[in-house]
Formats: sequence, structure tokens, C-alpha cells
Amino acid sequence: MTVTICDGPVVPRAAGAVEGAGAVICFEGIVRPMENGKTIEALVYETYDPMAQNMLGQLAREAMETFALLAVHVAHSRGRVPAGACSCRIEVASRHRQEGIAAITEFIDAMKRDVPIWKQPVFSGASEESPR
Amino acid sequence: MQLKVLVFGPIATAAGGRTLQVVVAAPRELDAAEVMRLIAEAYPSLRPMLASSRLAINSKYALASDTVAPSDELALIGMVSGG
Repeated sequence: MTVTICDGPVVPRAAGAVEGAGAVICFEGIVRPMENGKTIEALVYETYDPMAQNMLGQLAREAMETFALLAVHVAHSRGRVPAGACSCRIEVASRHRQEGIAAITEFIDAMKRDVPIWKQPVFSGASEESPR
Repeated sequence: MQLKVLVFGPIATAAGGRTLQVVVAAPRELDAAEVMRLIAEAYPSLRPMLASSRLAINSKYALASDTVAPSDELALIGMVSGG
């Protein structure tokens, strides 16, 4: 299990073989280039550390236990991430696909509800909006 | 006694800074619910955001009855938006 908060975009991770796994499922959150008809240049992420890191770790441990996962790797950005780049990756390995898919869905829902991370859009040709 | 409360994201923008200052007139034992009430009194403009906010004590979400010590790190966590 790994949990990382990195400055800037999340870089690709080479998927390794996981013994006993029948499924490796990876979710990547990508910064959308458009929102409500406006062009987005980037999102700027703010994290409350170390609480954000600790909570991501706690969610990863709970997912391992609840869904009997074989591996969990979490990476999230802090700072500026340009449109089209990856700001969040959650990768799980499981014996069967169902528990892996369920684990990723539950992890993302919990992260968006509880983990102290905020994002602020930077629109093209406009001043920065309030964090949301 | 004065408490400092860290804020982030939209609450920091609304507050015009990264820290809230809450004065406790008579030093006494406080719980998290009372700290939230004191924040609402000191920062009326933040009241609409407090209903969806939680207090964290030393980087953990607090229960309303959790006691706050003067040395604790307090943070007001509003709606989050990771991912």
C-alpha cells in the first residue's frame, strides 16, 4: 500500500504484477479543459497536511480490509495541475473485478466527502475563482 | 485565552486569511461544539458555511463533546473538493 501527495500533476506509475490478483483497476482523475462553457487552464489544489495524507492512508487501509484487496496505491496532487493532466490516481488489485470496482467507488466517495483537499479553477483569460 | 483556528479553501477566502482568532473571555475547559459557537459569534459572515463545516483537533475530525486544550492545533474544515 502506498499513499502519496505530490506537488503538481500525478506522474504515471508502472503497474507491477500482484500475486494472486485477478484484477488491477486504476482510476485517474483528469483536469477537465471546460467547465460550464469556460476554458480551464488548470486547477490549483490545496491540502491540509498531514491530515489529508493520514486520511488517505486510513481510507486505503479500510478499503484493503473491507474488500480484501491485495494492493492499494493512492496519489493526489497539491498545487497547480494543468488541464488534461492527472490530479488523482487510485489503483487497486483484487482477486475479482467486482470488489476492486466497488473499492474504488467507495474510496472516491469517501475522499470527496472527508479528506481535506480543495481545488481552485484557473480559467483562461479570467482571474482565479474562489476555492470550492 | 485566545484560540487560533486554521482555515482553507473557500472559508479562508471568505475570512480574508488563513487563521481565525477566537477570544475566550474567561479561561475554561471548552469542547468542540463550543469552539464552533465561538467562531460563529466572532465571524458572523462565515455562519452560512459553518453548517457544512467540521472542527478538526490535531488533524482529526472532532466529536462535538471532544475537549480542546490550549496547545491543540485547531482547523475548521469546510466542504472539501478533492479528486
